[in-house]
Amino acid sequence: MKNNCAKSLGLLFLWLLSSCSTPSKDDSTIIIRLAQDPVSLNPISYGNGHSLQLLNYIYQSLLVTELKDKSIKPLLAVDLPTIRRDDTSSYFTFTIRPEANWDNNSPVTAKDVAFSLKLLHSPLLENERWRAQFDFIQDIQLSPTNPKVFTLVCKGYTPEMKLMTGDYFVLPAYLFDPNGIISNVPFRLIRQRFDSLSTTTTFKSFSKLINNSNLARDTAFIKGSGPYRITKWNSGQIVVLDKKKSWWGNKAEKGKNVLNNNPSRLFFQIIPDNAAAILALKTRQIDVMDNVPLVSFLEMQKDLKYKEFYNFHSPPSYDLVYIGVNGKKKIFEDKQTRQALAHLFNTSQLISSVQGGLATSTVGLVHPQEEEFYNSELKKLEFDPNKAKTLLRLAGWQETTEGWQKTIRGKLEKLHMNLIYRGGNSDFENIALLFKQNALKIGIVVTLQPMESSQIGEKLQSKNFDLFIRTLMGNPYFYNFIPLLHSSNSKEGGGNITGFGTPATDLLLEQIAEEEHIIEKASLLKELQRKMQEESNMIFLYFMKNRIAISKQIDSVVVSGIKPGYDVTRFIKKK
Amino acid sequence: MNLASTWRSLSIIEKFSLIWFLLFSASALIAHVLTILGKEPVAYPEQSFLAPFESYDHLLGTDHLGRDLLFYLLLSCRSAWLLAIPPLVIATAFGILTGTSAAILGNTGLKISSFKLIILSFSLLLFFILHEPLVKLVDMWGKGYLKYFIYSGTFLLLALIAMNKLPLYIPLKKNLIVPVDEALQKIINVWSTLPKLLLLLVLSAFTPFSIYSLMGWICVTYWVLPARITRASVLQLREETYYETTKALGTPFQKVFIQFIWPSIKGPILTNFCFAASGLLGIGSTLAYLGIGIPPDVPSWGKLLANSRYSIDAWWTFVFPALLLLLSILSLQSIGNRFSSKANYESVTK
Repeated sequence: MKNNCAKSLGLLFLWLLSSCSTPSKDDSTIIIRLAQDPVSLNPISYGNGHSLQLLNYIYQSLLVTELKDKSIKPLLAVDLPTIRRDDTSSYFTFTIRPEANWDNNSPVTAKDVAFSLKLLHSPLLENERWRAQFDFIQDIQLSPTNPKVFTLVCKGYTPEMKLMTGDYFVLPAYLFDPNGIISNVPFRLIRQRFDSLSTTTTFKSFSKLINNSNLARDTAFIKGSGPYRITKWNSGQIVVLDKKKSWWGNKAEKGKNVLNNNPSRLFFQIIPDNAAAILALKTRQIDVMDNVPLVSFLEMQKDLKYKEFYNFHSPPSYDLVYIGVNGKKKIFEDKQTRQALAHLFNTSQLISSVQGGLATSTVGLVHPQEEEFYNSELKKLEFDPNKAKTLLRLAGWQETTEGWQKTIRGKLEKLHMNLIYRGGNSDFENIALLFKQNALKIGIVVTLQPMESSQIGEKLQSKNFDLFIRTLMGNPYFYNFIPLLHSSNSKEGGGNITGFGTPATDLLLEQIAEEEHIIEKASLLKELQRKMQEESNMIFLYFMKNRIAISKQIDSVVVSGIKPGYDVTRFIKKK
Repeated sequence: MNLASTWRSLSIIEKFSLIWFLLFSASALIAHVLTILGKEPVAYPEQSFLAPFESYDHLLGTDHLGRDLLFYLLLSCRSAWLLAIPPLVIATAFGILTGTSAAILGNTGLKISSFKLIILSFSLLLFFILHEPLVKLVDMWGKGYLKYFIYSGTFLLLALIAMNKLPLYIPLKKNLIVPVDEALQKIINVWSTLPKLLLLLVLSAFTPFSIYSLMGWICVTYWVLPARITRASVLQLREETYYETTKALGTPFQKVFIQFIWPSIKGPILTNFCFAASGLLGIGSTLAYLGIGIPPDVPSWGKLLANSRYSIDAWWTFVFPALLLLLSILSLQSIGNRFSSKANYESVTK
């Protein structure tokens, strides 16, 4: 009896050990490394770039960008919108695919689009960023005859609208608003009476519904029209997405190339530590890893042992590594102080050594390969400690034996600063260490503070920071930077973290957002890049090249500079 | 026994261990002086991953940022030493103090007057209320150093009250009996159930990363075993007749401690010290490896080991720190073994 008990316990232990966070190795399961926990999968206020990557497999937008050639393709829409324009407005008419439906088999209709737009503009929700971004959509007109047809009425016309009018998640009204709380409130009214509606019981109860953690975490609630559904999420460990067996996209007749769900399961392994992720890659426990640390990437590329199992890609990405300076802090109020800091980053050295040449230097937040919009005449603030000292003196700082000091509003301030960045990110750590070394040479004391990403988020939102290192995930499709840079968004919780902005730059941003013509837009964007360099609230280092390793077992691989850098839904895993 | 004969009585391994430990301590001292002078490992990214033994400039090669490995390893001795020895000395002293107090005072030996307790509580409360505005005030004056006067002054005042050094009029005669032994037992029971590494990981999250705050947390974590050893030894001693005699003769406690108690507890305490220090070398490196507790710009063997994971080709970034760590741990273990075997000779109760 005892013996049997021992054997049973032993077997149970072995089974537990073997099933411990390893994916069930289905033939077509793709295992992908995620560098961070998604934190929240609320489609309105999701946690980070990784959340967005997952959300794109669960929810869909009307339009999508093709990774291969960056062209715009219809996704939920049957075709690209038809556009009509008059003096003050433009009208984008969409038709939703007839096959498109939700998990409960009800069709995706124009009412769902209207509901999604209402969400983006409703009071009491965390949607400031979207309200600013989609402010140009003034109204939605539903077709009286066809529930799948609708027209968006937009303010003016800009080329970006070709994508922007369909670049938001279409969400299931039946699931998010089962009692139809806002179904009868017109979209135009929500836009016009934003402030007064925030006090109504209707919107109070609706915001309670949407801000509920269920929408951010509960696998029963996170359901869209996309090819996958989330089946498991252990915070900080794994997220599992399973293919929908009878997904509508498989029955679609037109434009099937953007509607794929080849892998039966997507297994996202959350490994924040780069080195641990590399070990997992080397032992072939993951199929796909992006942002592979440089040294490992170069070594693995040369090593036959790894070349046999992995393909290595390094497409240029729109991920921009930059330093944020808190312009609202007393010691950084003067732009010359911020410029001085910019002269302490040896970008060319960072690119050649730390990035192994796999990065592109930039003067601003436009990628140099977007030649028409990039300000190539602007000179980069080069590494120059002497220039930094000169600028500090011009800003009123005095070099003393105790470092740089300045009397600001009657109080003696020292130029000491904390630099925060995500712990475990070896690239950021190298940047931080080299900056500290350069700053120390001219007498500036920098304290490095690696942190969890959630801690950083809190600090940035509450404006409780000096400097930070972060990656800005950009794209080549739209240049409406109002949510990110307009001074109206620099209050606590707003998207403008660094406190950038003057009346002149605000005006520039508004003009860029509304400018229709390429040439004028280009000149405005170039002026913005110049102004941003002058203000130096954001010190731009380089656009990364994504370093991706993909298992050779996988066919139909398309890599691109557009996030996340690969389209996993097309992957076919060979046996 | 003089030093020469002690040295002769050591085995080869023990001699090597002692020499190694002295070298390690000397390196740590040199590194500390260099750190005070503002010397830091300088990064030249253009010279990253230079192989060892190829030039005199970088005898042991360079790491991923082009920092000279030999210099980095030297400065890392300071971090390892600072995290192992000083906090352990303080923790051991605290452990001996609490262990002896618990054994001598028992559950009835410490009486404190209610009035004094009220005064102490009130003073502490006053300090916590006034602490923040006072600190802000001295900061506003630009005289931040006055903070230390406030802290030390408060501490001194509380100590004087506790030790009856102030001429306080005591209207309340009622005394409270403090069960010192029971209280310590309870604390030790709770504290010793927690794994030390886990405890340090949790505690270090409460303060900004700094080598000194980590030293503080190590003190908080490592006093338990010395306290337990001391308490057990002193409880045993209390039963001896000569201890009773010393009490009857009115020998001062300091003398009793130095002449009778210390020789008995010295062996186990020093043994525990060596093994705990060797464990701390490992734990300090583990924390640095995980990037927790130690700031990223403080050189550490653990950090080198963590970075070595990125590159298989650069074997020297792994081998040299691993070797230093291993030898330092083994040398302390070997010295600890020596103390352990010698302990019986020293004890007056054997």
